[in-house]
Amino acid sequence: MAVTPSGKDKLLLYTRLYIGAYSLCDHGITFNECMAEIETPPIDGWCQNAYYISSGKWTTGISGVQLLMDDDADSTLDRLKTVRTAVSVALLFGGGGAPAVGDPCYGIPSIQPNTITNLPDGRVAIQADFLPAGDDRDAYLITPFGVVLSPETSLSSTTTQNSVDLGQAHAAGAWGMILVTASSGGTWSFIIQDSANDTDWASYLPFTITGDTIETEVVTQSSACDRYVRAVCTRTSGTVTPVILFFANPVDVTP
Amino acid sequence: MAKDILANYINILVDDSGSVARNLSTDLIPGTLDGVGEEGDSISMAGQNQNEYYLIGRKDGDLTCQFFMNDTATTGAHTVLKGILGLVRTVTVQFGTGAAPTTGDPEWEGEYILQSLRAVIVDGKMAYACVFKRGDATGPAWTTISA
Repeated sequence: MAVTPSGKDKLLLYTRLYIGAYSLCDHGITFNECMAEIETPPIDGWCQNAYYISSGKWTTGISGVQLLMDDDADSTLDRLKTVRTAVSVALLFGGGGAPAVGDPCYGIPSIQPNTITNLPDGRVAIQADFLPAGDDRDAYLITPFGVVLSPETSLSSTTTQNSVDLGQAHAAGAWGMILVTASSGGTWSFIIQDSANDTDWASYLPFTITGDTIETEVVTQSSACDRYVRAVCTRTSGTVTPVILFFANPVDVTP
Repeated sequence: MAKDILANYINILVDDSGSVARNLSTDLIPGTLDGVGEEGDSISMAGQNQNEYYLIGRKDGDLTCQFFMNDTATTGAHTVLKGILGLVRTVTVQFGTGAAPTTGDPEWEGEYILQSLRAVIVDGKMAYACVFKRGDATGPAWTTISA
């Protein structure tokens, strides 16, 4: 949770950017905005995403991500040079420090439509936008804003993260994103649990990946979610660095 | 004293996903609230429900504002706003006269839909830029704060 939960300490300095499972914020210059918009397309039955793309409007997405160009393996040029690739993207917003459990986040499975190079203050930078990869039936197009359940920390033993109070139960389900940013090749399991009282916990949203490689996964759950959620990372072998994000769907959402 | 309605005496309350009013005033970024009030009637057809013009985009009734990204459970702007994206909820703006808003002070209230929620950078801080559009055919109205 933020050092001071007033929200006024969520500086860009404490924002972390992940493109795929790669943390690139140490090359970060800025980004324009990350958005979520609801607007009815004018033709009944029209796929909203197709409407938005053809009209130049967006439902969700992150625009203007600008990073210093670095040609090291798996750095910014490697990660951004190929367009039309599907990639999960996430921003974590730390308050008064690096992002922690309970801090806000923004995430979407996306398509990268462009790569632009420019020269801010004489440095070569690489810039890209990230459009949503799905269609209007996907939960994450309604709910790209969520909370951090597991921040970027190397784990070497089974870890149950602190719980997060969502404020209320969510009847319309939820979705989750995991970004394994480092791995020793071992075996783990990852699950999001929920609870009505922050005491008695049940399995709610399991991930299928085992954390043996750098990768991402998005999972969805249509059943109702209780008020409290937490991430549990169970070790069989090795070490792993999982970033786990949770997104509860608004009530009455109809994709 | 009617001339002492200052910007620092504004309250903004937004219903959360459970339709409970949440006071987001301390998260409101000063100077960003815009859109309270009505447009003059100059394009209507006789007998037309004026408020329907907002719904079809013929009048601009958008309420726009920015909030700090407060993740406090239940009451923080992040918690409230991410839970009502695309939903019709009551938005209330109260104007205190020389002090915090109280009974009898002016109030603008109506049903709005949170149509756009954007995380933006404001002077190096993360904030939410919100666009609330008219949410029903009745439309918001000026009233006073009741006891």
